[in-house]
Amino acid sequence: MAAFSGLNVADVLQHAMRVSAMDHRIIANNIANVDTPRFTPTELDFQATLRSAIGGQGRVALRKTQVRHLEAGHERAVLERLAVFSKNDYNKVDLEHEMASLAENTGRYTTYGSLLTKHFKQVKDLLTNIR
Amino acid sequence: MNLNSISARDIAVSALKAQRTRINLIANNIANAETTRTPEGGAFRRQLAVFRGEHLQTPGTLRAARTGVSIQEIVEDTAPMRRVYDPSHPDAAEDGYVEYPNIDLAVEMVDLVSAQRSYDASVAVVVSDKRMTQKALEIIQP
Repeated sequence: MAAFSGLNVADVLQHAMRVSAMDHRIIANNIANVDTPRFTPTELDFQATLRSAIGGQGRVALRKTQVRHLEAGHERAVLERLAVFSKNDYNKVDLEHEMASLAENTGRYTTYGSLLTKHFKQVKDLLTNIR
Repeated sequence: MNLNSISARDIAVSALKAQRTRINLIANNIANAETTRTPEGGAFRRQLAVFRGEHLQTPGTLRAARTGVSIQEIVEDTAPMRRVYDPSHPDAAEDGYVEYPNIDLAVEMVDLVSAQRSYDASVAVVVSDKRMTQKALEIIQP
């Protein structure tokens, strides 16, 4: 998270919630297609997408500190999952994995929501005390 | 179409609809397991739903496609009919065999459980989506 220093807390949390909502849609789509023949699930790289979402807004210029770092805004955020198994109809959705991702992502989103609520409360408290 | 224009709830609801149709077809198959007469003539044929889905995003890009899942068509199972020797049956052929639907109750029951589980999974998505929306609304609460 060092790359985000100097950024507004609310902005980062807002982006994080947006990326989390995007991830939620992708997981929902994977679960919806659990019985669709020849369907390969996709997966969101949360960190990479968040980084490119923040970089894409022009609020912070991402620094390449390692050779392996990708250019901001050109990241392949959505990946096809490398499935180790497939059902008889070539469907590669692993429902257990998707349900775990769903729970994880919901937890992530609600945590960011709580942090944002807390942040605004702090700002409000601060303003109230000034008067 | 932008990613933000499709909600996770819409995707989950498309799956609920598709699975519901599948359950209805299974119910109809079970109900007609012994039906020897249909408007088209002959015994009832097992019906199957063909699901069609698309990726939310093409891997590697941020371009969204049509999403969720839908039933592309309902097809008839081409498996041979079940032949039972019963010369006294009004629908018996000259050789004394009656053609019964190509429905195996065990297969239908297994399909039913599978459809029900998939339905439950999408219900879980709707529930978590609701929790997330509630959390987002909490931010603006005084």
